[in-house]
Amino acid sequence: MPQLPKLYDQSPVLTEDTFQCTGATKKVVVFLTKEALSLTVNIPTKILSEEFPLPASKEEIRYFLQSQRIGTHFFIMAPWDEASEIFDICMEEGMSESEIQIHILGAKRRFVYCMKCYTRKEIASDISHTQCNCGAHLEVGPYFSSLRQGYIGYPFHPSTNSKGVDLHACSGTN
Amino acid sequence: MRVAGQIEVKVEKIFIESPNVKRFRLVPTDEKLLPAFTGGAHIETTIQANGFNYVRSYSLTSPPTERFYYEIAIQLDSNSRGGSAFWHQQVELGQVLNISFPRNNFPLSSRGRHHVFYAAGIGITPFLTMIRDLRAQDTFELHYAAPTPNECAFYPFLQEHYPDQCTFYFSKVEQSQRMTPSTMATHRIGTHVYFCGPNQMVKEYREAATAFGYSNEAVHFEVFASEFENLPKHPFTVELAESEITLKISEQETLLEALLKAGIDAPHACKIGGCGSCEIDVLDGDVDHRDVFLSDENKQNRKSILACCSRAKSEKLIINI
Repeated sequence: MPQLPKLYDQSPVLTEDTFQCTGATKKVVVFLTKEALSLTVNIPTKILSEEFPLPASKEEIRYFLQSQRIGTHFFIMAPWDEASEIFDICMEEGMSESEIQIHILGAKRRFVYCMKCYTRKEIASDISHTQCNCGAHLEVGPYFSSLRQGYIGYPFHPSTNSKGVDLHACSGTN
Repeated sequence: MRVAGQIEVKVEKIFIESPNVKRFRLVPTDEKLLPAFTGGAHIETTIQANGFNYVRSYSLTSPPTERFYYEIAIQLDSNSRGGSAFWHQQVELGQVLNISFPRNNFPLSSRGRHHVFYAAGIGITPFLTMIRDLRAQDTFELHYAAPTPNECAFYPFLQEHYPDQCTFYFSKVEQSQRMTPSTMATHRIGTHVYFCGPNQMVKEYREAATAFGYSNEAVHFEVFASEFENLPKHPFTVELAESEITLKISEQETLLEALLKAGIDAPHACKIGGCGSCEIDVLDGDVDHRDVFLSDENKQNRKSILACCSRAKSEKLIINI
């Protein structure tokens, strides 16, 4: 099985706005939780649309996806974990990122992958350095690894850091 | 010893697949194992004979895991510039030739869950190996157009091994059927489509796929020749920024040919604007894009040229080589 894309905080599928139709959009399926019911989704009247209420089991979602035809695009309005799970199923069913748009309800999540101890740790959205649970100081790299499901974290020795970063400011959440 | 990228082989067997298609089995003269390859791969064949150097690319048709021999299938082209006519009329058992290592500009997508192949005529060849590369959980369909069953290369093989997945369209029989793009319209999400055939057929199917809502990532194709080769060609000048050489490109030659003639080791592969191997950065000047590799967006935003087929809109280009 090839490595499939994963949802991350800078993913091109994420949008702060409502669904944007492209020339390839023939139908839109809106996955939405109860919290999203009050939000407006502007879909042109000439485009078919359908709502898929959440929560739903993985099997229900997969079965539904397999019945959808080419030209169907998905707009997912859900909290991070739920949206991430649906995104994974979409990828497993062969969809491309250009066929999916996601509006996250609440906060996005961000992870760093430590290249010293090979574990993943959740970090705040605005930091460029952190300390791993293994003790290593990590510079959060720009590259998100779908395989590791996190940004690659490069260990550095604090005393050799030449960037003038205040290491006491490094923080993270577990 | 195998010189990098070249393998000496000889023709061990010749099979008649149809009145116009012959299949050639090639075995290495050094009796070492051949490189394995992936579905959709091709080799470049080089035969020196009668004072000519026949260099042609052909899709591999033997199983991708077969290491003792390669097979290629060649259709006698009525407009042959020498290659297919030579293979059909002069190549005999024992003919020695050089081949490149396998290259693949037309691989099977590992992302798709259902694969639909559309072949016209000898366009069937890359699909024979792609079908064998599919994962157990993936499904496929093959739509194959030919004039008659007799002229349909690999017809018995496909009928025997994939009777449920193949649909044949014969245009010169009593109840003729035409293969049309409409069969693409109702596939499930996660379907990838693949086209191989004459330029006009590939163009028609690509446009239809876009209209039906396929994403660019789900549309794959291979063409036999440059789609734009009949457009008028104007001479232009190219300045090479690194070597400070200036070349004049005549109406009859391509930028790639001029670079190679000048002794510049410019990378290249397919020579029909399909693979992107010969892409060179352009520092100044307007490019007349004549390839099918770059997307419309790339053609607008990326300052580069595919040297094998694209030309200049302006009188002069400055390229980064």
